[in-house]
Parts: sequence; C-alpha cells; structure tokens
Amino acid sequence: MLRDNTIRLEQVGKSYRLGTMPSLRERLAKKSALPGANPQATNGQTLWALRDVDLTISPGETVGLIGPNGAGKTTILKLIAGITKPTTGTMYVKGRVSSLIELGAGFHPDLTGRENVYLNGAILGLRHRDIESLFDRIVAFAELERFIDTPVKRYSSGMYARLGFAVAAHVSPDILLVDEVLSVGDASFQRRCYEKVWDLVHEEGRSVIMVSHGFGYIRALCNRVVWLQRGQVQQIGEPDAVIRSYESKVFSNAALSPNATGAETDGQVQIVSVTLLDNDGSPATDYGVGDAVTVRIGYLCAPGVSGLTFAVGVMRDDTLNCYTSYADECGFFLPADQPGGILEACYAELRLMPGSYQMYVTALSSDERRTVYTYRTVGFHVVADKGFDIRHGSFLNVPKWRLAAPQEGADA
Amino acid sequence: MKSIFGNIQNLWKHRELLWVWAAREVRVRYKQSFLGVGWAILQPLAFTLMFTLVFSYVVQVPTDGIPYPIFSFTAMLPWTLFATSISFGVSTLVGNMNLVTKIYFPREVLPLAAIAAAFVDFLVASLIYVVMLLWYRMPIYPTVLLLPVLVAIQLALTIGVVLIGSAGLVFYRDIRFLVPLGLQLWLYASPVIYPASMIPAQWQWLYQLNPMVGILEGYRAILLHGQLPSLSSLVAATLISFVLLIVGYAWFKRVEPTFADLI
Repeated sequence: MLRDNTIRLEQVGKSYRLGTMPSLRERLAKKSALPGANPQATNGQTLWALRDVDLTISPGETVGLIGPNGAGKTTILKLIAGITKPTTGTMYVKGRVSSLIELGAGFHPDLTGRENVYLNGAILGLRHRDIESLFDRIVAFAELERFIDTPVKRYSSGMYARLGFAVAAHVSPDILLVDEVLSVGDASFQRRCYEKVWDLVHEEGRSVIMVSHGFGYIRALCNRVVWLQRGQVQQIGEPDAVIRSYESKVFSNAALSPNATGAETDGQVQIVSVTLLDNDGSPATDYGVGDAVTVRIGYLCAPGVSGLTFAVGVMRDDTLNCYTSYADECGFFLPADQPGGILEACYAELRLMPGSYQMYVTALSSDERRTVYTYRTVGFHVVADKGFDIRHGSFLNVPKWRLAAPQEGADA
Repeated sequence: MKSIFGNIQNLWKHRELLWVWAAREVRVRYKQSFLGVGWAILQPLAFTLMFTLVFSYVVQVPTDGIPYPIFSFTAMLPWTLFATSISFGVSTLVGNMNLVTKIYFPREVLPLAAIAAAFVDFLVASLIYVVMLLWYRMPIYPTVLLLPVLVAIQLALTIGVVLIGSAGLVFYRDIRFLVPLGLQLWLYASPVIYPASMIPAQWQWLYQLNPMVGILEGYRAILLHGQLPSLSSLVAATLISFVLLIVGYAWFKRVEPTFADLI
C-alpha cells in the first residue's frame, strides 16, 4: 500500500528557532552538549512553520499549495526535497526530486550557462553523458542559444528563471517541485512551462507540486489543492472548491457576494451599490465562460459635479487587466446635473476562461485628467467548464469553422 | 558503520557532482586571477625560497646533507595541499548557503570538492618538485613506490579535519578566525622547515601526536633518503588520521539535516 504513494507526510511538524544561535561563548558557559545533539534545546522562542501536516501524493498527481505568506508552503517543498528534515512526524519520499525553489539557486554566477547546466544536472544526480544528450533540448526550451556561453551573472531574472526551469523539468524527475518562480518569465515562457508541467504529469505520470498565487494556472493544472494557514492544513480538495473558500476568507465575505466593496468616497460622488446580475436578472457570483453579465451600479452625485462618467473593467486574480471600458468612450453620456440613479452596463458575453475575477466600477471625471472620484469592486467566478481551461488561452473566442473549399477527389 | 556505508553509497551516486564541483572550484579560483594556475606553484615556491634564505643563510638548520631548498620543499608541497584544503574546505558550507538552503545533495560534496581542487594544485606544483629533484641530481629510490600510501593517509587526515571544520563553522562562526591561526601554529608544530630530529627526545611522544609529523617525515624518508618511514610514527599518524576521518564523517552526517536551518 505504501508503494502507490510517491510522497507521504504523517503528522509532520517543523519548528524553527527564532532569534540568533547561541554563540560559542554561551555554549561553553552553559556547558551544553555538542551542537546538533539536541536541536530542540533552546532558550529562545520556537516558531512552528508546519504543524501536524498529513498529506499523501500519488504518482501522476499535480498538487497546488496555496495560502498567505508564511503559511508554510515553501517549507513543505523543502521537506519533500530533503533540504531540511521534519522536527516531528514521519515522511516518506520515493523517487528523484527535482526542485525549483528559488530563482537561480544552484547557479554559480561566475560560470557560463553551459557550465551551470552541467552543474545543475550533476546536482540532480545525472551523469555527464545524460546531460549531454539533454543539453540541446534544455537550451532550446530556455531559448538561450545566444547566451549559453555567457556567465550567468549577466543574465536577467527572466533568463535565470528560464534556464532554471528548463533544467529542472528536463532531467526527468519523478517529483518536480516548483515554487513561485515562474512568474518572472514572460507570458509565452509561462505558457510553455505549464505545457511542460502538463506533459510531465499526463504523459509521463510524474508528480508535480507547485506553489502559485496565479490561481488560474493552479485551477487548470492541479487535480488537488492544499490550502495552508499558519502551518496547518486548512483544506484539501478540488481546486475550485478550495480556492474559492480561500478567497472568500482572504477577500472577506463581501467580495464574493454579488454586492460590492470599495473605496471610501470623498462624498462628491458615491457608488452606493454594485450588483452583478446573470442572464435572468438575478444576482450571482458564478458564471459560465460565455455567459452574459449585467453590472448594476447605484450612485449618488452632489450638485456641481460636472462631467461625471463611469468605467467598468474586469481584472483576473493574478492582476491581469482583462478589459476596461469607459462609458463616455462607448458613446454613453450621463445627463448634466443628474443627482444619481441606477446605471447598467451589460456584457452580452463574458468571454473569460474559468478563474476568479474582480469587476471594477470607477466613477471618474470625463475630462482629460480622468480624476477618480471613487471606485468599487465585486468579485465573481467563472466556473470550470469542460474543454475550456487556461491552457487554451486567457480569453474565450470561439471561431466558426467550415470547410471552405473541399479538395476534389483524385478521380475528378 | 552500516549508516556510513549507506552514506558512502549515496555519495558515490553523486560523484558526478563532486567532479563538476571540483572543476568549478579550480576554474573559479583561477579564472579572474592574472597568474591563474601559476599561483599553485608560486605559493609553495615562495615560502621555500623565504625559508631557504632564513634557515640556510641566517640560521643553520641541520638537514642530513640534503640541500635546504629540496629538504623544505619536500614537506612544503604536501603541507600546502593540507593547508589549502583546510582553508578553502572549511568555508564551503557557509560560503554556498544559497545552494545548501535551496537544493538537496550530500553536503560533504562541497568540502570534498575543495580538497579535490587543492589536490589539482598539488599535482601542478609537483612538476616543479620533479624539476628540482633533477636540478639537484637527487637519486630516485625504489621507496618512492610508497608515495601513494603516504598521500592516502594525509588525505584521510585532511578529509577528517575539513569535515569537522566545515560543519563546525555552521554552528560557530568563530572557526573562521581560528583556521588561519591554527594553520600557522600547526605549520611550526610540523617538520616542514626543520627536521623532526630537532625536537628533544623527551618531547617526542607529544610531538608524534601530530599526525603531520609521521606523514611529512615519511615523505622525506622515502623521497630523499631511500629509507622506509619510521614505523611507530607512521602507525600513530595512520591511527589518528583514520579515527578523525571516521568520527568526523559520522558527526558531519549526523548534524547535516540541521545545516539548512542554521546557515
């Protein structure tokens, strides 16, 4: 039964000592044992980075770790990688682990890209000839052909990330650990990384554990998500469900109600309410990829404010600005001296891929300065739909297909 | 013992890393220095020259009829290997903290690679030694075949000291300051610039506790005199060296899991 598990953590805890190590002088003064004899012995405070974590990961699984900073995500990766050992509990890791825990870790700045590829391969336990046979593919994946004989200290952070990921992913690890390092690469590189992760998991049956704040990718790639909170597992389960409960905790409950939260207003213009309405005109937070949505905005405007207009926009949870449009640019103008009312902005189709989004509503001046009076946001989800995920792009745009000119048969 | 065997097996799996890292050490050390690998020769040569001036012109040191330069260089060469290994090896764990805290591999690779790199220097500098032997028309004795044995004992001692020192530095940064001082004292407590016979007989038992005494006198015996090394000194040196190696390695592996948390 153990054989089926690649990784198993049982009641794993990890504590760190806060403050500085006792110096040699203090040690001698206390006549305590040799260092390492009793790692828990300390007069300072200990911080439990992880506590009572139970987690089992099978081959072919992609597991996402989410949670706020300091929740213990990286500590779990370090334990699985064998960099550090748990303070309590037992753990079992089968197979070769390749990790990308920090940008450029394992790279030596004075050596060239080529030398570092060999160095990294050797760190991961590969023989020289194995690395040789993979070398061209690694360099091509990283798109660093021109710079491979340049010392890596002259690399940009994006180049570091590309080379690091390329090596880690090509050494055919049984387990690939990826910390939040891919966000450095550009969009096209990120896409290729996620495709590579997809291949490792689905074609080769490897296990991948990733930490990311880009929930879109976690949703698309992971079959399970672990939400960590202060070193403890808060929830494990389906990506969609876990991410949603995490977000509702983080963004407070209001953000995921169809009604908005937003900035304090200076009083001149107030956005009283923002409500998202679905096709039937009822408030909703969940939408399908091609659904219609209506943004209903209640506002008040003090007398004397002239040239008021509104903007609505959608931002993905990784802060990608999907689209923003200004009422006046759309040819819609509010009557002058209108003291308030209810506005509606209708999107016939959301055209968004599954994920978490924020609808921004901004009240601003229609002159060139575009002074913002106030804004409000409301969160909503585009729920997973078969056949549509982030690997197919960021937006939904389905063409009409037809066979325009059939090739005549050979006998014609 | 069983765990030591397992550790060596794991180290063997990572031998590629050991070579790559050692090559890296050599390359990085000389890449941006003007003389490059010439430093490997210049350093022991300069010391020998200096000691020759002092100890054959200013103060006469008995050398059993061997010209002083070749007398002292015979010991200076292996001493330089020993000292370079320690001064570079001890700081390898702390100096590569970005690696130790981010990637797993058997940590002893780092200090061992530093020793391997120092060994490359040693081989290069040995060429000069061969030239010196020819220049002084020193005969080649069959006892030279014992050279690998002495080198092996010296490496065992070196690895033991470097493993303990590099792991110790993780816990106590004081060691960084202790190393140059300790090496200086150790140099004068070893028969590098003078023969071991200069030490009074009543202190010889204490003197022989320094394993470098048996090793360095052994080099002189087999290379300069065509004699077998003194058995008692050699046995003492071998015992102390291998005990240090085994105890050092066992302790290193025991505290290894805490490195990433402490560095």
